[in-house]
Amino acid sequence: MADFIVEAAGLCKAYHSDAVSTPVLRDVALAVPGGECLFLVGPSGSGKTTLLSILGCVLSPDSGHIEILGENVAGFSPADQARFRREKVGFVFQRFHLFDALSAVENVQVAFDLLKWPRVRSRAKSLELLALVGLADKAASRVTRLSMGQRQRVALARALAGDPALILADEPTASLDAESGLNAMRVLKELCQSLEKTVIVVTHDSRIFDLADRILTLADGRIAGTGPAAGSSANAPSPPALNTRLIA
Amino acid sequence: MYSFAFKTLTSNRGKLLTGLAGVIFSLVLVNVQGGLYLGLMRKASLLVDHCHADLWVAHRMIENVDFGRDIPEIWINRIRGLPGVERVEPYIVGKGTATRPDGGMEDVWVVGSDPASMLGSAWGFVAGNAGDLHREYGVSFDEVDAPKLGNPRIGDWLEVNGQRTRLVARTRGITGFVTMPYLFTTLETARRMAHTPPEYCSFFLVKAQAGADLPRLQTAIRDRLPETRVQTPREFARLSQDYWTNRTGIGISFGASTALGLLVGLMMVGQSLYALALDHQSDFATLKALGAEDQHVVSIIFLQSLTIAASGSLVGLAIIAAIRRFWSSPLAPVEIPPELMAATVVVIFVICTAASLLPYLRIRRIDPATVLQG
Ligand SMILES: Nc1ncnc2c1ncn2[C@@H]1O[C@H](COP(=O)(O)OP(=O)(O)OP(=O)(O)O)[C@@H](O)[C@H]1O
Ligand SMILES: [Mg+2]
Repeated sequence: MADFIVEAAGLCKAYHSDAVSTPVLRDVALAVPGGECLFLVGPSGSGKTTLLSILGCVLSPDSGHIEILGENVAGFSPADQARFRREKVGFVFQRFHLFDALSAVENVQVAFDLLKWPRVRSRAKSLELLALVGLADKAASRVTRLSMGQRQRVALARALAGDPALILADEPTASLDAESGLNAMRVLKELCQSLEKTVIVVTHDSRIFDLADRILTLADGRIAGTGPAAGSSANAPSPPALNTRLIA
Repeated sequence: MYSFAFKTLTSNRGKLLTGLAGVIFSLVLVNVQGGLYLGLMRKASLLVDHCHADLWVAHRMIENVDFGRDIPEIWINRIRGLPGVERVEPYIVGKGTATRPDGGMEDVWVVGSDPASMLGSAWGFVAGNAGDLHREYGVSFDEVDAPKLGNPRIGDWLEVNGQRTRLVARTRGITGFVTMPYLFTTLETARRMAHTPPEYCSFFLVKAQAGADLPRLQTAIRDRLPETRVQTPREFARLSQDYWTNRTGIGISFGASTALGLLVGLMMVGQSLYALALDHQSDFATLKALGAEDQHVVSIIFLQSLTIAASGSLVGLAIIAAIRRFWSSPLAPVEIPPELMAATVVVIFVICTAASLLPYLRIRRIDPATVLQG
């Protein structure tokens, strides 16, 4: 494993509309070591989602250098970006963005379908992932019948499909009440730790800051502050005995 | 991908049903139109199709089997001795006007066959038989035409062109394109009824010897009788059908309504697929954010249109089978050969594929970044 999963420097991004250019990221530099759980915080409009989108290869930076998992993603074509997202990145969206017509297990399977896994294998693997997030008994339920917390865990199982090295989550607790938000975040953190995933979480939610290894503050498109999280490592809960062998 | 495509489709009943209705409508309409057209064409060549002659010799200007033109019967001798000919018989298809007992008039076809073979004579007897047509003044009529002839009973007299004839047999299923009643009889009775000049007839019917080289015989007869047109039953049937298709413009009107049916089907399928895609824009955006490319989007929309095409075709074919069974009648025969059904199903699949193009173009424009930003 490379020392740094993500290495970026001089990242700039502006949105253009009607000949008006709004700079959103200004000269952002970032290095994320493998296995780290990094939180991005900052005021609304500071560019957190934009940065996360660039890290997830959904957006390209206007300028700057960015290497993820050893690949120079700044120069990617849309097809390269899509391939990279399929294979290397797992997303957990703020409003989950599950497929409402499908059951929990089918939602996870879609991610395997994109990777062209054979059906039987992808079904078995999806069931394993749902078991990992504690939803084995809800696999066949349509996601619209699940609670918000359960949906978040389905989204997490889907993000883990195909064993991506990097998990990106944008406000994963924003749609949840305090308790289920904390629970969902714990599951995410513990699973990713035991599976040795690198996690980058955008959040406003100070109640979960404890779970971060490191917190970066964005303000007005720049990294304004960095440091270990208030209550990191020392008093973070130890990972539970998860069955990591299940993940290929 | 299939579960996404399929479940998305089935969870939107309204759109699914619109799409299915489009397919079913198109398929049924096109097949019924085609079936009616083929049924009419079958009527246009009815006499030829039911005659067991190997070659038809007719006047050079012949256009249609129902409109026989007189040819000198004596010409028959020029072809009787040709190698490969088993026998040649004169055949009369003429016109007459029947006077009903109530005084009403009805134009009729008078068809006369050689009494020895009765080649080209009536079929489908439900009362009397071919032998009865040998009786003096004996003619057959079809039950479809009974009302036009004053609902006669077997044995009743009927006046045709001032000649007395006797209705001795009744048939079922003989009705031609022009819907004038066919009265079948012997050559002599027909000649009298239709006022065909003596020594003239309408056609020569040629029976070839077993194993004879037909094309060669056809050429040989042409050489001997350059004033005639010598055709196989297939060619003559085609000529008669083309005559009505071109003269009446039914080809164009059937063609236009068929094309319209396909167009409406295309629009319904296209509209339902498009509306479905619009409803699920955010799902497609999510798929793209997860790394779906154009090929994935194509396969999803294609699977959906294929599902609509396949299930709509199944229902449509069942309806067509029922129509064929219960709707078809001698007056409006619906002839739907399996080839027509197969061809229309293929067209339906092509149409559904084409209809998936529009939603695809729409989904293509969706930016995956909206999933995070939204
Ligand atoms: N597609 C877009 N077009 C134009 N401007 C945009 C677009 N997306 C975001 N912006 C602007 O860019 C700035 C940064 O947006 P971004 O979503 O990255 O902020 P954020 O830190 O995630 O905010 P929040 O905490 O509210 O989610 C905002 O001012 C926003 O209005
Ligand atoms: Mg944001």
